[in-house]
Order: sequence, then C-alpha cells, then structure tokens
Amino acid sequence: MPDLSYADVTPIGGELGTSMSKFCEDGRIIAFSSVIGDGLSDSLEANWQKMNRSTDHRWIRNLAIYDDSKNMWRYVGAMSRNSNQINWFTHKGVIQNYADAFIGIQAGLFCLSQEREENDKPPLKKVGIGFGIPVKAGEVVAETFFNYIKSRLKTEGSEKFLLIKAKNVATGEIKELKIQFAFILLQFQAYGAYMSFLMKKFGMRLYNTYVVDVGHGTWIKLPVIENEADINLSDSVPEGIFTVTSNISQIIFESSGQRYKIPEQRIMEKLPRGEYKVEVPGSGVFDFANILDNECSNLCEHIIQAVKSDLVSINRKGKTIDYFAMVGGGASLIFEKFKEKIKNHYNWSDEIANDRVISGVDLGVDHRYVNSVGFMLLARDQIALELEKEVNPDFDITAISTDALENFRI
Amino acid sequence: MTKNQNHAHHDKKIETGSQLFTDAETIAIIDAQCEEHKTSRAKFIAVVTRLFLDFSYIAKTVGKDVFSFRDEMIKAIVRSKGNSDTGEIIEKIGREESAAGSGDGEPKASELRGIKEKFSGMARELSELRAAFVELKNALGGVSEDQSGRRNGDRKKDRRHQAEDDPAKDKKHEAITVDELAQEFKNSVPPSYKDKRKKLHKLKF
Repeated sequence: MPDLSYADVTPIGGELGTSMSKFCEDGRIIAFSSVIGDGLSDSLEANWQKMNRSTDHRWIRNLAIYDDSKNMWRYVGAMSRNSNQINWFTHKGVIQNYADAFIGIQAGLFCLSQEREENDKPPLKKVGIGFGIPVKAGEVVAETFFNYIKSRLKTEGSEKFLLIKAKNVATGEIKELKIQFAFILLQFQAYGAYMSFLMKKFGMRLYNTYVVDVGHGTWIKLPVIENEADINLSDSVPEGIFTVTSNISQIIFESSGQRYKIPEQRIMEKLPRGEYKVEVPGSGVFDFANILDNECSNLCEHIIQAVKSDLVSINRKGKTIDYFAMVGGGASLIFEKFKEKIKNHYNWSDEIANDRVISGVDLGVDHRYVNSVGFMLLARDQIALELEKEVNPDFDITAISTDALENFRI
Repeated sequence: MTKNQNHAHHDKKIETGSQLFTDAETIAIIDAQCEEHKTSRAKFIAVVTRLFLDFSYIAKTVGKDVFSFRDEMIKAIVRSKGNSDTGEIIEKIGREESAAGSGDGEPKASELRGIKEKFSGMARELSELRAAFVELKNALGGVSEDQSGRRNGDRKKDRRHQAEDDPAKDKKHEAITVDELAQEFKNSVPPSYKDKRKKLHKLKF
C-alpha cells in the first residue's frame, strides 16, 4: 500500500562540505561558505548597516540565523566576515559542532525556501532530506547527529517541525519559517555523485563506480559496487585544494625573499578565473602556473596510489570497476591528470578513457554541485518508493545562488 | 510420446532446420569446414552460432556492429604485419559478401537478427563468465588487477617500442590476452536499478 503521507514531501539534497555547503531542490542549488560566527551586538550591527555600502542585499549574502540554544544571532556563510571568531562546520572531514551544523541545515533550507518565494512559489512546507555526511563520521556519529536534530525540532501532535528565524543583516528584515520534517536520509558524501551518474549518465543501470570527490580541505574516495558503498575502502583524506594553494603561497613566500606572504585565499580566488599571476609587494609579479601544475600532479599522484591499492582489493573480491568518476571543487584542476593516470594504468585508448573516466561535465553540472543534486535524487527516489511509483530520474539545474558578492559597486 | 516418436520428431526438426541452407555454395563451405574440423553439420552450426554471438557481444561492447568490428580487427592485424593495404582487403571482402548475399538461399539479415535476439541470454551468460573468470584467476594465482594492469601495460609498451624501432622486424602477430581484453570492457548488460530499488533506512521524525 502506498504511504500517501509522502505525497506532499519536497525532496531536498544537501551536504556540509569542508569549504562550501550546498543544498538542492529540483532545478535550484544554493551554496554558501561552511562557516559560522557570532553576530555583532545590536548597536554594532546597527552601525554596520548604516556604513554598509554594498548593493548586494540578498539573503544568502547577509544571513543571520537565530540560535535558540544560545539565544543569540549567528552569522552564516559570507556574513560571518563580520564575526570576531568563526567556526567551520567540518574540519578534516569531521563535523565540528552539532549545534553549528544544525544551523547550517537551517540556513540551507531557509535560503532554498526564500529563493522559491522570489520565484513566485510557495515556501517549503514539508521536506525529506538526502544528506551527505563525511565518510569519517561513521554510522554512530550519523545516528548521534540525527538524535541531536530530533531534539531541536518542535513537536506538534505526531509531527516534527523545524522552526527557522532568519535575519537579513543588510536590510534588517526578519522572517520566520516552519518546515515539517518527514525524514532525513544520511549517506556518505560521495554517494550523492553516484546517484547523479546512475540517474542521468547510466540510464538507471547499475555500473560499479569508483567516486573520488576532491574538495577544499579533503578528498574522499568511495567505491560503489553493485549499488552499495564499499565502506571498508571509503575514506576521507585531509588533503585538498587548500593544500595546493597553501603550498603555492609558501613557495611564493620563500622565492620572493620572504618579503610578503600572499594569503592562500587570494590564490584560491584566482583559480576559477584561470589567472595564474599574483603581485608580490616589493618583488614584482609572480607566475605560479608551473607550481600549480606540480602541486596538482602531486595531489593526483596521492589519489591514484590509493585508487590502485583499492583496485587490488576490489579485484580480489572478483569485482571490476566500470567507471571512475571525479567530482568536487578540485576536479576542475585535477580531473584531466586523473583521467590520464587511469588511462595509463589500464593502457586504454583515449576513446575508452573518455568513456570510462567521467566527471560533472558528463552531467552538465558543475563538479561542486554533483553531490547535492544526487542527494536530492536519493530523497526523490525514497519518496517515490513510499508512494509505490517509478522515480523521475530527470534533473535540469537552472539556477545556482551563492554567497559570493554580486553587483560589486562602491 | 514414445522414444521412437521423439527421434522422428527430432529428425524432422533437423530436416526443417536444414531448409535454411538451400544455397549450394554455403552448404559446400559448411561441408568443407566439417571435413576439415572432423565434425558434424549440427555441431559446426552450433559452434558458428555461438561464435557469432560472442563476437556480437564483443563488438557491442566496443560500440560497433559485428561487421565493422571485424573490419577493425582486420585493419589491426594487417597493420601489425606492416601491410598498409587494409582498405583494399576490406573492400575485397565486402565485394565477396555482396556477391554471396545476392544468392536466394542466403539467410537474410532479419533472420540473423532473429537468431541474435533468441540467444541474447547467452550474452548475459558471457558477462557472468567474465566475472567468474576474474574470480577464478585471482583464486588461483592471486594476481591483482593492479599488477596485471601494469604488466600488460609494460608488455604493450614494449611491443610498441619494438614496433617503433623497426616495424619491418615486427611481423609476427601477437594474440591479445584475456586480461587485456577484459580490462577494456565494462559490464555490457548491467542490472537495472529499477529492479534493485529498495527503501533505505530513513530517519523518520
């Protein structure tokens, strides 16, 4: 018998990445920095509002969420630039603080709902969430995190609601939202990517897929064999694009006669724009293209060694890998090197390597958002199963909102 | 039905089956092959059918139809022997095929497709055999994909190196190993997710 209580559940996908948190609903994605900080005092905040000359007044850029466990406003994502002290949701692949991570979920759902309203849709009312957790968290931590979430929900009869009180610090507007939680499904982070490939690239056929998710602070490996994540071989390694940019910063510092240390963040910002030169005060312009290439090669070599080692274990079980997938923010820098190394390992032709080594490009989705899309599909599939229906595997990402500054004007 | 009746029924089936091959030239080829391999017509046709399915499977896996696949193989073999007239050879085979195809008794393409569909289950068996083979290989020798991958890679590189040094000397055609072949394949008949969907452990509120 279909469970009709799932008929009005909206599927949501989400993950708290080491650098960015991403949430997906249907064709919309929101992404903000995985960082939280305490709000300013009322008087300081009022002064900041008066002096703020940014024309970007979007909620996602200026978001504060009321933390009822501490009875104070907390700044989330880009807004935490004004906080004295900031905390990251995760560090080295581990959730740092459940209360902070809970606010991350509140922020994600609020921003998705806000985007709906801005597109003349009703706010979110009842959700089922597919949620990616760091591999190192493990099932016990996942259960504990779930119990924490449960303890923070408001019970009304047999139903549980998430209350969100949010403030747009730039405009001073405060909004409250009440969302019913139907379920939350916790899965290892890179499994979302597998779901995306399964539904779109693989045409709902089960191919053994080895997923590598290269993030800002960690890279994750997750072999999925016969639709099941191989937990024994999955791992998150505390090495990512941050390692690459930090090393570049250090090399520039040393090569420039230690005059000035370029912040890692400045190098990071240049990468998406394809800029590989940075001005070092007192030392001139420094071209770091070659260093970047070497650092990426080093990171890729570490990844490939782990992959080769896992292939031995997988093969001993009589299984083979059909596809190798690389996703995450670092994929844009590492993917081609990764493909080349897999190709050389198997001595494949270019044609076969192009077919068997895949990335977000094969889905038409930015590498960074493939996981969150997949978790949305996972939640959608579970809702369809409860309703005893076929799942709709289609998705088309038409809008992405981030907390990066827009309409920059002084 | 008695045993004798069964025999009669079986003979009739064979007779009916033989009606497929009214073309004298094809029958002559079959008989010559039977003579060469010391086997019966029935056995020969069974083996040929099986081989056709095997090659169809391999061709499908690399994204080609069986005839294009054969052409690619010919090109590769001819290249490995240092002969560049592959186009002419393939054209010649094509001409022979067209001439043979004009005979009235030749099985039509639609019939071949029918046979192929009828035995498509055998392609699935092959896929399972491949997995079983890998398992068996590991059980016997503990040879890892990693190690074999590298060894095969080295072998191939060596061969290429040799060919680059002196193509004329590298006249001998080397057979591709099962390892090399298997590594180029992905599962051609993967199971459907629709059959494996299940309700996961959802944390309900």
